[in-house]
Amino acid sequence: MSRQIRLAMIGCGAVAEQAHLPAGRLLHNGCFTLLVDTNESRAAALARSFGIDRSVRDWRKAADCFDAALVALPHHLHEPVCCELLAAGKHVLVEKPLARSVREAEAMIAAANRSGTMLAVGLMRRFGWAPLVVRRLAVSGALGTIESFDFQEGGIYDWPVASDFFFRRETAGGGVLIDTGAHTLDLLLWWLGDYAEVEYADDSAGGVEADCCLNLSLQSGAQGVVELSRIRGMRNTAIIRGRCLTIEVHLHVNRLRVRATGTDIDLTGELVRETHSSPQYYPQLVAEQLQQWVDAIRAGCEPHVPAPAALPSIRLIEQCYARRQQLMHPWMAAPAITR
Amino acid sequence: MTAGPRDLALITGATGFIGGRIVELLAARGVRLRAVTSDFRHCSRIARFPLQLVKADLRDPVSFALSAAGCTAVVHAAHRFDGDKAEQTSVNVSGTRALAEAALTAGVRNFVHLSSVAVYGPPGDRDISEGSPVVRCPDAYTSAKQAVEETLTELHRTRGLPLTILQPTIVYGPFGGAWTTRLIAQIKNHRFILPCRGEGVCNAVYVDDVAAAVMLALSVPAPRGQRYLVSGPAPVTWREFYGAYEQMMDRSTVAPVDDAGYREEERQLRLAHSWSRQMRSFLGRRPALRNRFLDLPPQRWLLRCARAVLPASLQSTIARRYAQLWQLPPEPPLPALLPDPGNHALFSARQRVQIDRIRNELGYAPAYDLAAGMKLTAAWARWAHLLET
Repeated sequence: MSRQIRLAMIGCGAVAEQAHLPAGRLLHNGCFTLLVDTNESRAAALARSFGIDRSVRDWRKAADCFDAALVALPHHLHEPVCCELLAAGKHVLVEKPLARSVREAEAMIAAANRSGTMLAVGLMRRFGWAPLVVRRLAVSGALGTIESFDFQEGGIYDWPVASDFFFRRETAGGGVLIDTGAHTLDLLLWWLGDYAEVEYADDSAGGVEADCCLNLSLQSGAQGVVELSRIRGMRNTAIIRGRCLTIEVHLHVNRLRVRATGTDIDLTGELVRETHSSPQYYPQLVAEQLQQWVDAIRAGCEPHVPAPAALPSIRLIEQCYARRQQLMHPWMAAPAITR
Repeated sequence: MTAGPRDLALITGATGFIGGRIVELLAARGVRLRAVTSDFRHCSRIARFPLQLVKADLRDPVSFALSAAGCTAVVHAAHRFDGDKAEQTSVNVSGTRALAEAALTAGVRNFVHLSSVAVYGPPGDRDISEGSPVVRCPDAYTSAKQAVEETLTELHRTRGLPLTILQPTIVYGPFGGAWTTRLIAQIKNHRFILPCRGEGVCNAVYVDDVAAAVMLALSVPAPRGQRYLVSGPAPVTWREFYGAYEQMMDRSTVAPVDDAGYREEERQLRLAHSWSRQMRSFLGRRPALRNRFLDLPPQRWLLRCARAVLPASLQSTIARRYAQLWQLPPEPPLPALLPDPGNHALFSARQRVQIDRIRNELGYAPAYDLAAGMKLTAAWARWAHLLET
């Protein structure tokens, strides 16, 4: 395919405005030609500010205006909207989480297979230099046999959400586990292999969880803990203890600490890349993801993160919710002291 | 407050410190809840419960009024802090009035307003009860709270708003800002100077006791527009209050000082920020820059003359003094922090807040003395990773 790939942005919320549309400005061989949102005035305003020709309420009214769609909708709409787009012959890059359940995810993958289109998922951290290095270290055996791991991610939630969809189980599919955890657990399983057993507890009391804890056993035999939160500051690192090396990788920036077993000496610092003159931050990650997806469409090859790659983490998240135990917070233990 | 199928409690300020705890306790009782927030991003804590989330803002009275439709009870804990005195008062009064009028239309049984002990004016030495005079003062927060109370009281008197006003004191506990996380940061990063030897009276109340007072107010069968002060079982000193945080953090960085000591700390702080001290500190760390300055023609000429004219003993004395001038005192491990004037008055005050009315009329029985409240606060702070260095 030699011509420019015409992209539609389906869903014009905060992530479209702050991440995907700015990334579109840096894109080679592709550009956004259509914005779609049920809030037409919002879509029109974003189209004006990003110099995009057209905005509509329903993509079906402008199906001939785009070749591929970037879907950033409330989670419960991922499956129906993506399946319809794929059936219409559109390539799709869908924001994480790919789906709320394995059943939804498999339906989406099947739709892509049927129509011969490409379905990619926005697990952009797999483009990060530090995650790439950790993957290489783990897969090559340089760490030695993995003995344990300790992942912590979270902070006081501050994403500028325009609606309450993130906080309703029926639209979001869950809370911090399916949102932040989609990234964290994807990296964990990508680095260390699939899980065998999981114990899970969260603090939901009928709504969506803000804080959760997983005790995981991997098929490799390694055991560890994953803690995620939206209501407290966390370390935001993954510590992986191998028989040869222990590494601590930051989950938001390209920072790595490596220690050889039996020593108290750390090799620590920011990662740099020979082919890049500047560091890789969030906007660069988003731009790399978009560019790689467009390049894959043009070349007719597989994207860096195809939809099936997200299946192990979706399966784990589904297992967690199925085996959920109640997490009690220290301040909640106080008895209600009213008559 | 009952948890009947038709009961629906509206909480404004539901994502805040006190509002969040009220949501947790009401949800635990099975009460149907509608939580009002001006920004969805702050909803994580309360979204753990199956409640209705509604976006409304005191700056948009229509949105506030709409939020009350169909409710049987209202807990009004929202307050906008932005703007000067006139703006803060106007925004909070107009938004609250719209909410109260909508609550009247909806026929709510209880309208509980979270006010503040601040309505009694600047802290002093006379004990406070609900009969104490409301003293006008230039503070924007106090003025706004006073005006909101007056507006609601008027609606109670003229239109029968089923109003109960609660006036909490120094509220601390999990997720607390002013009297919890701010203090933890102060103790972590500063040598905090506590005036009056820390012997001023702190009318502290653990957040669960305030939430319990709200539950009691929601149970009042025929609210009479009454105001109730809400404080802990007994006042403590500020030294004890700050000391509890020092203990949970295993620190000793609070410095209770007497008046003379406080003046000396003020003087030291002024000196530290003086132009000459700043310049000395700047040049003291840059010997190369000083030498370049001395090497400029006028200074070079003066030095040459001095070396030719002055006796050797005097030259060495001057050289020694000059070297001493740039020997900076070691930086203190933590910079001193003095309270702002408003908090200085608070830390110096001896007033005790009387809670007889709420004890006698609503059956309020605060359950958390300082030790019990701080034990839970410490457990939360550890969980929230706030005590790590």
